[in-house]
Amino acid sequence: MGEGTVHEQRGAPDIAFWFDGRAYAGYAGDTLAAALWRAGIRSLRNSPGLGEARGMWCGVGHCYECRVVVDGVWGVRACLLPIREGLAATRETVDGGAQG
Amino acid sequence: MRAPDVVVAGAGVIGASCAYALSRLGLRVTVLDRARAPAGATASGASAGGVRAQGRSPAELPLAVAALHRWPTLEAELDADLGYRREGMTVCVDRPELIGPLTRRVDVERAAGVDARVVLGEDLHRLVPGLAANLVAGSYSPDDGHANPIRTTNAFARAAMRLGAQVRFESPLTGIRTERGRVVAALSGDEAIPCGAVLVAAGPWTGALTAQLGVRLALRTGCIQMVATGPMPHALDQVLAWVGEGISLKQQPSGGYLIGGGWPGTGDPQAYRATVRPESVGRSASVAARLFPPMAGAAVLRAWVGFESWGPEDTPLIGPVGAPEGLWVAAGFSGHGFAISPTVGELVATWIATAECPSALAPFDPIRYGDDWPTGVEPEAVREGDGTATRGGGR
Amino acid sequence: MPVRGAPALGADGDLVVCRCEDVTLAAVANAVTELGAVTADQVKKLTRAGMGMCQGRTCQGSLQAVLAQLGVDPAGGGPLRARPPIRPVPLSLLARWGAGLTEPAGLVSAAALWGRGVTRGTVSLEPDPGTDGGGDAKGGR
Repeated sequence: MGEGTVHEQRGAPDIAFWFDGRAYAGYAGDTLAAALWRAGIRSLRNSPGLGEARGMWCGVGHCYECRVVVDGVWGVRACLLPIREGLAATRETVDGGAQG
Repeated sequence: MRAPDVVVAGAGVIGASCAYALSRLGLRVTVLDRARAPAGATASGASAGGVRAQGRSPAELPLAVAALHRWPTLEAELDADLGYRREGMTVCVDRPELIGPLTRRVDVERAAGVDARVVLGEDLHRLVPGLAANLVAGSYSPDDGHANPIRTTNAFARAAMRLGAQVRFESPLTGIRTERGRVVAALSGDEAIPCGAVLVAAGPWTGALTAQLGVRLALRTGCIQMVATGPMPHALDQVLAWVGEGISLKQQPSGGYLIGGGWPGTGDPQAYRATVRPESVGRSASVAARLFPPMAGAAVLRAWVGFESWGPEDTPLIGPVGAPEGLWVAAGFSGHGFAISPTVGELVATWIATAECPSALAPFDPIRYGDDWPTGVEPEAVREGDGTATRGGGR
Repeated sequence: MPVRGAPALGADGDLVVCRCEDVTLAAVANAVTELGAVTADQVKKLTRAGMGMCQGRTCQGSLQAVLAQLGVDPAGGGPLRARPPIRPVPLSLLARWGAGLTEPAGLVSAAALWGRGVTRGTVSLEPDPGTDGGGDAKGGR
């Protein structure tokens, strides 16, 4: 192992992206969910029926809990989406429903 | 256990509604179903859940008007959450030359007591915010709406059971025994169930069952497909349709959109086998996005198919077949039986109990054609091969 | 078929079994004890559990476990049936295909890209200007 942690070796995060209108920075290769997690953002949406705060859960693209809206398309999995300069994602807002 | 008065074959929404209504009248009922209803690949399982008076044969309007009076209290009556929403339905046209026929249809419906009217231009777009700009007029009825067909079918069956009906799943009607020209028993596998009457409400499987007794019914089978999306913000209150484009669109209480309209699937009902046709998914998605652009970002989660039973001139066959005595049918609802199911059940039960035909059912005599089949209708028969069906109309 | 009476779930009733559709344990139990469900598929049809974005991948095991605990068939009647599409696809993308604006190969590659979170170019209802989708048609999840 070389000197310093991985983070120290990498320097400061330098990829600018947006979530819900706020700017964040991440490292090249981060997924959106990981970069937000590092920035302290773990709640990515509220569940449609109960309004619970939800975010990355399985982390491998299986459960869709981490879904966000990108370019008008719903259901994009933040745990799979690589950040890129200028990426703009927003929260789902579903004023939902009673089951049924 | 005493012999039932009536054996109902088919626990879909029609059969279950009839069983409930018969039980309410104090008759003993046994319901038979091949599967665990509401089963997949059936009309009840693939229904779009429309509860509407608009856009059906004029002969059915008395049934529809009566049903719409019943729906608002049905949840309380069945003690069940049916997901019923009465938020209106608008049938849209995109060309001025279609306004005339639209208006004529509305006039017929209004004469039958339906609260429907034509809305044009700006009024249409105020009525349905988000509707695509190229739609120029629509027929609107505030009393139309939608409900959950799975829950409704189940609720009728459960209510019937609470009133003493016996519901036997995974127990199909396999035959009917007669003596001296009268039904005396329903057969399910090796078992003979003595009964006074058999009501066959088995959708596309109805004709094959009655054919065993030499009764030919003017029924044909459709195979229709539905598409559902993930939840989106609430943007659509009404049910929408688009004349000429074959679509019914609604947003469910849970937020997802449900795209119907009769897009064809592929299947063979006699083999109980149905598959999704990808082209129908693509084309129905295209029409939906063009009709209601706010939904374009939705994620399509699932498509499924179901077999429907279609009757002559897209109207059902309801009533006794005459010979043998005691054999009744209720099938051929042509993709729009869900809305009228409460009333069909009520009136069929009354007819069976009193032997008097309710006037609203008079147009639907199951053997009204004798040997003179309507053009384009083939008698239901046991199908060979793929049996790919033509475009249906589930709404 | 033996079904025990409504279990005293207490606070456990609020546990979310289907995260996609927010279906609680109480709702699942109610489907069995009050609505007559005896299979996972019936629970799904009556409660919407398994009808959300992940189409039952996450909650299927839980549904079967709850059915077993309630004394109904422990196999739950078998797994929930899968229906196409195998993963969610944007409506707009299917609409482009349905309207003839993109070829099937373009649909597959765009869906694969979308599955990896690349969404540019998938939403428009305009015809493809040139090569559609492009990129790597392999991968995606």
